Amino acid sequence: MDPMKAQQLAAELEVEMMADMYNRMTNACHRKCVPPHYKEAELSKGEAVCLDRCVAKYLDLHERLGRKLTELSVQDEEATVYEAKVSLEARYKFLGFNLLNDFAAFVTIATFIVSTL
Amino acid sequence: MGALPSPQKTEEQKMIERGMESCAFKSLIACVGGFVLGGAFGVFTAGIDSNVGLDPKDPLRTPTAREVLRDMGQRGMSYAKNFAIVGAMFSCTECLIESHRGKSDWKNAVYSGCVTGGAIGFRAGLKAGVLGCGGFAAFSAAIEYYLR
Repeated sequence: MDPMKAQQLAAELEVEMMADMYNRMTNACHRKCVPPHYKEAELSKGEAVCLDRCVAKYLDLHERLGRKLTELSVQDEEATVYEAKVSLEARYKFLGFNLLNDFAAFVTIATFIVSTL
Repeated sequence: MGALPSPQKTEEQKMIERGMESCAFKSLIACVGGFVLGGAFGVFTAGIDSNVGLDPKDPLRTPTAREVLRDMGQRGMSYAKNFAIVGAMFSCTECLIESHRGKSDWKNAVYSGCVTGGAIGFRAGLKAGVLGCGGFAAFSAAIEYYLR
């Protein structure tokens, strides 16, 4: 059930990420928009406007950074794959060269032995 | 998500609350309140500062009730209109400035007092406008200091 489990894990992670983002957003916007001196229980107009703007900016920022991060990680992954491929090719070439050398050495020694017989 | 469980607000309730928080509604309330207050003030001062029914030929004649009432009504209406306009302007500008700044402190009242006083005084020239701005801003600042 690997794909199901993977999906479930992804969903759980997503929920946890959303909850964490909500908590951080609440703390940040509360710190920025609501000064610590409370004169009345209700949010004033200025504070309400500030909170709307804060939430909009936070979500926009979150989305942009997420997109940039996935872009960079895809680039990084592609670079890693390319590097691995290049190094493997180099290794094969090296191996091939060594094999050729060994084969040449074997042939030389074999002819030498045969010629002395 | 993180909040305590509370009953969900209906769409209508949200709409009503949003309307009640809007700048237009606040300035309407201030306009009506100013009208009532100005009317009361005008009627009151008409009783104190009466110069009605003054007949140059007979300065000691007592004015008739109709004349007194008409004077009270006129003064009351005049004061009411002035107060309504001033109140609506002040409230509207204060709400707009507060929405623009995103903060809720005493400076909003001072700025909007300057704008209102300036607008009223500007009709009589630039100097009167500046004076009106300063005066009304100072008055607003005093009221805000008292309220906070």
